[in-house]
Amino acid sequence: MTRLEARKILLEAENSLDLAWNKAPALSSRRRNLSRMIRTVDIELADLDTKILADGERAYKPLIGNLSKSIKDLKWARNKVESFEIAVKEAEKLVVWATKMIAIL
Amino acid sequence: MQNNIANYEETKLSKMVKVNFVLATLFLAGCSSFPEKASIVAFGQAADRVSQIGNVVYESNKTLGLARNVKESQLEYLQNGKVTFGERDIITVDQGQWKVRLVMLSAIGRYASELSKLNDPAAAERAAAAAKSLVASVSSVVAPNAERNLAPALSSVIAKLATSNFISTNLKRVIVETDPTIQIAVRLLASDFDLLSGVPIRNAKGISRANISLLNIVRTDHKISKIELKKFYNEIVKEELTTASRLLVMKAMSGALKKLAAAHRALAKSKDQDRSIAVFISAANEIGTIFSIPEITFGATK
Repeated sequence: MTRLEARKILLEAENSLDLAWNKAPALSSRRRNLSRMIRTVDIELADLDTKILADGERAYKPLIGNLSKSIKDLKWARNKVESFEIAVKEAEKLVVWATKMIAIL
Repeated sequence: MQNNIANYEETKLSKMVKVNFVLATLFLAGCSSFPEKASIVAFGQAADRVSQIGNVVYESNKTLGLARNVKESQLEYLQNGKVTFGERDIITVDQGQWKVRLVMLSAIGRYASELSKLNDPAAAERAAAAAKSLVASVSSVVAPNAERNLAPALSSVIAKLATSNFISTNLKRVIVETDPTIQIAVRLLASDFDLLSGVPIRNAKGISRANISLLNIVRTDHKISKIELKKFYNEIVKEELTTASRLLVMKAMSGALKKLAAAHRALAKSKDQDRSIAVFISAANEIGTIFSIPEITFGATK
């Protein structure tokens, strides 16, 4: 049985216990016992979920590495755009200068 | 003589018009916006926000586990007089497993944040192109002496602008190359968040069961007035609503992640960007709205 199959069975058990809890009379000992059983199943489910998540943990490492490279590339592009914008401002100053020169000519 | 003056004035006017045209082109190029710029920024800001919500979801998950313990402990005490608070384990998924997902989400957030900070590469490129044509125009209209003075300054500017069309090509390449990573990461995260939200959902059910039993117990106590009973009932209802909103955020998380992936795919393909990004922003805002309720503040849980 795989972990996912085990999880499905535990979830079904939890649902059945929850239904039984709803049908049991308020303040009855049956309801109290059912609450304890549900808690036990919930602890088992949380452990199982942890194991399933641990199985998939390794898949994230290369993805985080890829994103780090993309972040580095974006930072480079941002610096380049900023330096070009400065260059364009320099060009604008030169245009003003050239315009003044033409007025004198 | 008069003809010479008229010709000189005409030439001067023509030069002025030419330079002014170049100036206007340069100005317009600087003002025009790269079509994808707004989309990239909007996507980046929304994705960054969703990544921050991941931490709040994690905190909320711990809060619900603890709240279940408190409620069940109260009930146990009222039913048997037994104090069990210290003996109970908080039902939650292992912290390390949460962290792995939060680190991934944070990496997506940093990537998105970098995208949102980008200046407009296409505008810079268009300005650069205008500046290049400016050189030709200025060189043709200024006097030879002036041109000699101008040349070194212009060539320095042009050197910086020469490879400008490389930027947006490079930016596009980064988005396209990152897309498969985003798609795989989001698929894994969305599936894992469905799993991670299972525990808080079950904890919330546990809290509700304990609340119902507590209400039943308090109601049978004849010493309590109807006014006190109503007050207690209202407190329980308020708690239940807070729990429900915490769960809403957890359930909305995997949906928002899937929309994030679709919006990034649209950016990479330069197709259907506006609609996909609008759908994603709406999902991110929806989560943000849930956080605006007083019991859950953005960035921290009370």
